[in-house]
Amino acid sequence: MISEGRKMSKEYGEIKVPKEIIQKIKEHIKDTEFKSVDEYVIFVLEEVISDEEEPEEVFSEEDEKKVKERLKALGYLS
Amino acid sequence: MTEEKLKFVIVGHVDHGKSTLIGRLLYDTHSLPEGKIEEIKQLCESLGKDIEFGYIMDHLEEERDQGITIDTAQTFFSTEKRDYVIIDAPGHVEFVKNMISGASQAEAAVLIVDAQEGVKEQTKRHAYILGMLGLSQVIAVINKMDLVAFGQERFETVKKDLMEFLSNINIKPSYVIPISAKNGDFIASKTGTMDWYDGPTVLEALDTFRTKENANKKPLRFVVQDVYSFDKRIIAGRVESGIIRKGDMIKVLPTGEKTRVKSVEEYLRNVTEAEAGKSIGITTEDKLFIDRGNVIVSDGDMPAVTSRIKANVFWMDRTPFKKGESLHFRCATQEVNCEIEKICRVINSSTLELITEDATEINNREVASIIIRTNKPVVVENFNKMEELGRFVLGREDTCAGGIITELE
Amino acid sequence: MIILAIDALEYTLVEEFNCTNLKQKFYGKTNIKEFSQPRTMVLWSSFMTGKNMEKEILARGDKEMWNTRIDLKETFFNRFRDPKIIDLPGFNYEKEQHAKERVLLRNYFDAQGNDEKNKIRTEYNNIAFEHHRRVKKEFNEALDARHDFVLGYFSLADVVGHLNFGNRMMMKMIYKDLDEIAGTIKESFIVLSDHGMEKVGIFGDHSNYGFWSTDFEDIGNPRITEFGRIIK
Repeated sequence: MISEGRKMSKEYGEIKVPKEIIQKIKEHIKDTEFKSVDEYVIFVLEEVISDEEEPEEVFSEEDEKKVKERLKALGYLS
Repeated sequence: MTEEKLKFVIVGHVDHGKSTLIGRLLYDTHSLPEGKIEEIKQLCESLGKDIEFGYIMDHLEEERDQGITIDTAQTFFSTEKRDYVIIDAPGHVEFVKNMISGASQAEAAVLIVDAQEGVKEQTKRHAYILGMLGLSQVIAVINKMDLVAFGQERFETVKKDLMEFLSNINIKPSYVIPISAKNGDFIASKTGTMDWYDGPTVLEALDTFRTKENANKKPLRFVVQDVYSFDKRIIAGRVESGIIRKGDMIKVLPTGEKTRVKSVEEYLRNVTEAEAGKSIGITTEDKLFIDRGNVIVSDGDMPAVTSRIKANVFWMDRTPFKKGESLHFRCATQEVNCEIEKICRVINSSTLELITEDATEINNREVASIIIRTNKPVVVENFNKMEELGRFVLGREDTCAGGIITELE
Repeated sequence: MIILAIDALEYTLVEEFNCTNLKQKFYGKTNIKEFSQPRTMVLWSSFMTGKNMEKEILARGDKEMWNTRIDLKETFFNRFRDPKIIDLPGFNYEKEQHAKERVLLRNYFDAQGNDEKNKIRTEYNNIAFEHHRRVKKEFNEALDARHDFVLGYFSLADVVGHLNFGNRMMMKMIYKDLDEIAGTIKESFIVLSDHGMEKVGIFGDHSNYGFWSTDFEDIGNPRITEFGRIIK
């Protein structure tokens, strides 16, 4: 359930996080499905980023083109 | 503001207003995400209306239907007193599995009954699950009072039926509250619709419940993992609860031998004590017969040392369990063999229907109330008293079931 | 007789959102297969005259088509003593309002970049909602005024739907509002849409059937030209 469908490359970089936060995360994940601080942090960040990448109004250029054509045919865009 | 969060579950049929209750709790405590509320507010303005709770509910339901909240097993809100977590799960089976195997940490429960429908089969099934958890902090809410004209008579009738049923399965609600989740009566606010009721609102009731005690404050339970002999004999293990200190008088279970803690050893550190959650080593003044699986306690509040355990388990192996089969029993670091003396009741985890009483087998994804007999005495606790020694697994080569201990000899 | 004429009211959403007031006692789909495309002006013109007006309307061209004004005598409204029609395409369509909408629609597709598009869409939505509030008010007043025939035409679902059909929250609130409007009508009424709407990403396209409902008869799968006859 946690990272279904998210295939990422196996290369990792390093980031620094204050120890206090790491400790808090350790406490936080104690009784959850997360097996490590790393796993939890990656999950949280993925969620945050994907929220920004996919704003509610997800649309493809294809959709827009198609609708534009349709609206023309229906007489809206003369 | 108290620091500890109170985790509770809401149990009851979805049609009885479970999601509306959750929505109301969030809405009345202003715990809903600002952005969404703003969006709904603007839409209401555009349509020339005032924002109403009904629209918020529509939105929350929408998100659920679209699977947006499908990964959310927890919902948060706060009162002035403290933070709350509603433990829920979209899938019944997941929910039941977590509850029964002790993975979720609900410390209280709210049971919903529809005032119009009264106590039906659905209510009973949901109450069964509550009963299996032995939670002592329960609020029963009788919802949809708006549909029965907020009538006291109807409330009292349903309350009577409910209490009768609940007493049969050993549940004693601390409060029974008449509410209308849709209108917001008696959830957060005392509205004028039920003057005959002078009890607390749901939030007030929740505020009176206790959170689980800080593990440090509980009696000492030091679970032995290994014994090493270097220049000194070090007993390595984990402090599941309480605090162990140099100089403390301790007792080893199940043998019962007593001694004093000579030193507390933590890797590369000089310590004289270790609190709950720490993995450490200790040395003792007397040389004892001690082994992996033993539990070290201090005199006073004793766990049980027994071979007969009443428990509830969630069977999660494809190969069903057949009575007569021998299984491994694992609790903390203790590993023994056991047999199931009796399968008292088996329940289907998704429909919550009672399948059989006095059964001969347990199938995949079924919940069973059983009596376990271990081949050697084990050191255990009632799960509601202390999770760390109240949670166990059963298995063959792999783990087949998770469970919690409900009663001990 | 009262008609709630809702442009682009989509049958499947009326069911999904459980709009009980819009569903009334009997409801179903209309048959608009005789038309080459589900065009708003063509459909409503055919509705009010009882004839297939496609050729005639299209002959005017995309721009002029929107200015169609069919004479009362050609419509079945003429049957009534004191008919009140609000904003109906092909009859007394509010020219300026809807022309403004079409301009913004074109601007949206011409715009480059999401920010600009979002801005235009917000403006587009705002004027559609504003118009809707006005029509609601006018419709309420008409209901009070005791005409023997009232037709309230609501374009919100169509206008907003074209650019926002994928925004379920918005569509749901619009449908609930329309359902509420239906709920305020005390007398017998018919709900009718020219066509429905289907999702294309976040956009909406016209679907190939309309919606109808009554509280007095199951009229099956009627053609839009039959309504003049049905309303007797």
